[in-house]
Amino acid sequence: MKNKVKIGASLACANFANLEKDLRELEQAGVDYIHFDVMDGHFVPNFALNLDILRLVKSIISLPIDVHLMITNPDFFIPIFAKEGCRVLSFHQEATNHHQRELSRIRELGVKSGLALNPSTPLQVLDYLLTDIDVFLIMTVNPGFAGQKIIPATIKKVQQLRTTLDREGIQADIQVDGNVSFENIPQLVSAGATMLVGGTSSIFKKGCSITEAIEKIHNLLNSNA
Amino acid sequence: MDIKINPSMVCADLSKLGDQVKQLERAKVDMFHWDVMDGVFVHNFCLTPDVIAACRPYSKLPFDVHLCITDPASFIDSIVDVGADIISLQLETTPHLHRAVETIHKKGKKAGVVINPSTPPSHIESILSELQMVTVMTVDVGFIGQNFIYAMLDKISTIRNMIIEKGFNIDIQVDGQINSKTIHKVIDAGANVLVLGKSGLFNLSSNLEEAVMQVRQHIQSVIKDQKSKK
Repeated sequence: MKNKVKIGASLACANFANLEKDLRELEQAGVDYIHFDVMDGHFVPNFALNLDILRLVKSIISLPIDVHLMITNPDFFIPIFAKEGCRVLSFHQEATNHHQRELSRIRELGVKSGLALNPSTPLQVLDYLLTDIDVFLIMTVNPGFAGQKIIPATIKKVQQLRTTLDREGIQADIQVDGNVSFENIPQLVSAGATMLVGGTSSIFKKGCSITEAIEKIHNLLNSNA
Repeated sequence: MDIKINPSMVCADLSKLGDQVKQLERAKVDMFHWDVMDGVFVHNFCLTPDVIAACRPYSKLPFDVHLCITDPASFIDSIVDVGADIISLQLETTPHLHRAVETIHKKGKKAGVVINPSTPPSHIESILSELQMVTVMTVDVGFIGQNFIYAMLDKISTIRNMIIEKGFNIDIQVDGQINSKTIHKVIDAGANVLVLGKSGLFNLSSNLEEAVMQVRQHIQSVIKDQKSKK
C-alpha cells in the first residue's frame, strides 16, 4: 500500500532575488510541500538555505516544509530546526553514528523523521531502522549541486526499498531527490517513490514557468496512475 | 578618510533581495556585505553563493563576501565566480593566509582578513602589506543582536596606527552591533567601513533610502565633532 504521490519544490533552486514571488507561485500552482536544503560546506562542498529563510517561508506561505540537513553535525542542529517548525526533518545516514537516537528525537519534537541515503550507501544500513523512519530519502544524485544527471542504480534502489517496506507491511514515504526531471518522474514513481523533489530539471526548469512545470508533473502523475 | 556604508544583506528582507539591493544602491550605500556560514565554524547558516549570484545583476557596487567558515580558502573560486569583488577570509581558519590572499589577487579581486574579538592585532602584522581590508569583528561572529565588545576600540586604533605607520592604504571594516550607539566610537578609533545590520540600518525605517540618509547624517555629525575636537 503506497501513499499518494506528493510534489515538492526544492527551494534552493528558486530565484533568490525575488523569493516571495516564487513562493506564492509555488503555493498557487499546487505543490504539496517545500523541500528545504541546508548545506554546510563540509558534508557537501556547497551552501544552501538557513533559519532566517525558513522563518520567512513560513511567514509567506502555509505549505508544509521538509528540511533536508546535508551537514556533518546533524545532532546539534536537529532540535534547532525541529523547534523552528517543519513537517519532516531529514539528516544523512552517513553524517552520524546515532541513528535511532536522532530519529526518535525528531519524532519526540513532533516532526516526521527522515533519513537520507547517498547514492553509494547500501539499503542494508536501514535494516534495524525501518520502523524508526517516516520518510526514506533516497538521493538520486550525490548531494550538493543542482543540474546533475540521475544515477540509474538509484532507481533500482528505490524499487528494492519499496519491496522491503511492502514485505514488512510498512507504509512509509520514499522521497527521491536529484534530477527528478519530467523524463525521470514516471520511472521513479513506478519504482515506488511517493515524494518527489523537483529542482532545476522540472519545477525550476529554464524556459518553463513554475505553474506550467507543476501542471506538467500533475499530468505525468495522472497518466501514470 | 571617507566613511563607507556596507549593509549586511542577511538583515535585509530576504523575500525580495533583488529589490532591496536596488533600493540600497539608489540610497547610495558604498557596497554590499554577504556572510557565508557553515554551521561548523559558527553554529549558524547564512547566505550562499546562489543567493549572491541571484542578486549580482541588481547592482554594480562592490560585493564584499565574508567567509565565516572553517576552510575559506577552498571556496575562493566559487565566491569569485558568483561575482564577489572583495573576499574576506577568517584569519582563525585560514592557516595558509599568504597563499589564499594570493589566490584572491590572481583572480583580480580585493583580499580582506577578518579577525575575531579575541584575536590580537599582532596576528595580522605579517599579512598586512598584502591586504586591501581588515575586518575587526566587534561581536563574536555568527548571530545578530549581540552586545558590542568595547575592548575592540583599542584594537581598531592599534591596527589603524600600524597601517598609518607603514604608509599603507587599507580599509578597516567593523562588523557587529554597529549603530548610532557605537558608530562615533568606531570612527574615532579609526574604522572607515561600517557593516550595518538590523539595529544600524534596516530597523531605522521601512524606507531604506530614508534609513541610509539617517545613517549618513549621523556619520556627518560624527566627523564634524571629530574635526572640532582637533
